[in-house]
Amino acid sequence: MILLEYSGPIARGIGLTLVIFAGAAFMAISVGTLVGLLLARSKLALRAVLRTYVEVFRGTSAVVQLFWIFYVLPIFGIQLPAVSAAILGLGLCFGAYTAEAIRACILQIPKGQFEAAMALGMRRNQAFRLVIMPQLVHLALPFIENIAILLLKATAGASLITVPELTFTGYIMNSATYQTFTIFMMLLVVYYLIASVVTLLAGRARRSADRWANSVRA
Amino acid sequence: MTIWDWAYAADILPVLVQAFGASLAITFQSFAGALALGAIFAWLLENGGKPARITGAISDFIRKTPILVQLYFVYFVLPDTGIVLSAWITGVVTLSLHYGFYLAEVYRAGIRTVAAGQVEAARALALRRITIFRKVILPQALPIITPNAGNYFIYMLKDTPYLSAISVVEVMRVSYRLGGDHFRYIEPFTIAGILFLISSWSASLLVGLMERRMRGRWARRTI
Repeated sequence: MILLEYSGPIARGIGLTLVIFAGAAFMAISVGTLVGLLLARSKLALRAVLRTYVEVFRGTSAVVQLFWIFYVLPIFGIQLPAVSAAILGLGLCFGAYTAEAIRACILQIPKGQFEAAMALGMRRNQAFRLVIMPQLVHLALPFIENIAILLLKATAGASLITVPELTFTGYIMNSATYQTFTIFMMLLVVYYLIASVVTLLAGRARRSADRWANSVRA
Repeated sequence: MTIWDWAYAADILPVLVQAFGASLAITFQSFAGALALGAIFAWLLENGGKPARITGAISDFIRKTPILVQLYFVYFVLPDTGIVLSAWITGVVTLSLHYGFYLAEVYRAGIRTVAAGQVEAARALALRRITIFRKVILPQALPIITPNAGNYFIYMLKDTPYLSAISVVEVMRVSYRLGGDHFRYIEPFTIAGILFLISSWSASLLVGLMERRMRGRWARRTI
């Protein structure tokens, strides 16, 4: 059985896919939340810069960005290993998507709530932590879940810049054995399982975020 | 060594624009396919029963797996069953299927915005099913469907570079080859990026325009 024979490389491929996914997801969520929050503030000198970042990364393809980071950055003396290039490229790309989602969610929370919290004598960071944040998490989680699934699917693109992750491993196995159906079906099933776990975790996160929001209210 | 070589950039620009034409052609063909398949999938899903459950399961599977792997699957497995498609057709069929399932959800969300009471009222007025669909559901659903479908058009355009992996000649494949031939990657990849940027901006502008016109025109007609 070919899958058993190649179980070592497959396991390493899955591991690398998970590493890229986790790294890029962490980066996308941190960058995206920060940029989204800053963009939601009306007057800001940084705005033009952040807007440009979001527009450029959302307007071009993730594959183009990966190729640019892997093949062009070395010209400027920045030579990244393929895995880091993949994490950086996908993190920035999906960070831009996250920023747009966070900005849209923030705009849904009425401004009066923040003002009311201030009127009640809360400090700015208290108002943000106790009033805005729980609602933001509740509103943003479904978007984050969607973006996470898109990101997981985009990690396959890392194979195009020579990262030996799951898709790359499958491609190499196919060239060596031509067991096409078994190999590519296995890839699809593994991605599906990972995506299902992501969906499951996102559902749990949403429920516990709602409990948190309720406990703040009480 | 200069970082950006204008002469080289000007030299390769026509080739890249031509290759980007192929990317656009793939997107338009696949989007047409996805619009049609999406309608069929939406119809299957809304009708309920066993076909809806099976379609739902396939939809979930397709939407949770990478396009690149789906492309490899169709490109490498299908010939084993005796069906040999060109790389281009493989790409268009795969993109159509993948995005067809997304568009099915877009259609369903659009249809669901029309209150059930309206359809019942129209039925009570003895309007024909086709009339109800054309005069009651569509005018309200289309302004909801258009921006979301437009978004998927843009997503699809940005997914066309994956087709280079199954040897379709589109802008990324040509950029990569040019870069390798001349040992200069910055110009082709940057120009490719700018071409994507220009077209996704134009597309989102166009979608916004269509949405606004549609809202105005349909709203007047229904009142």
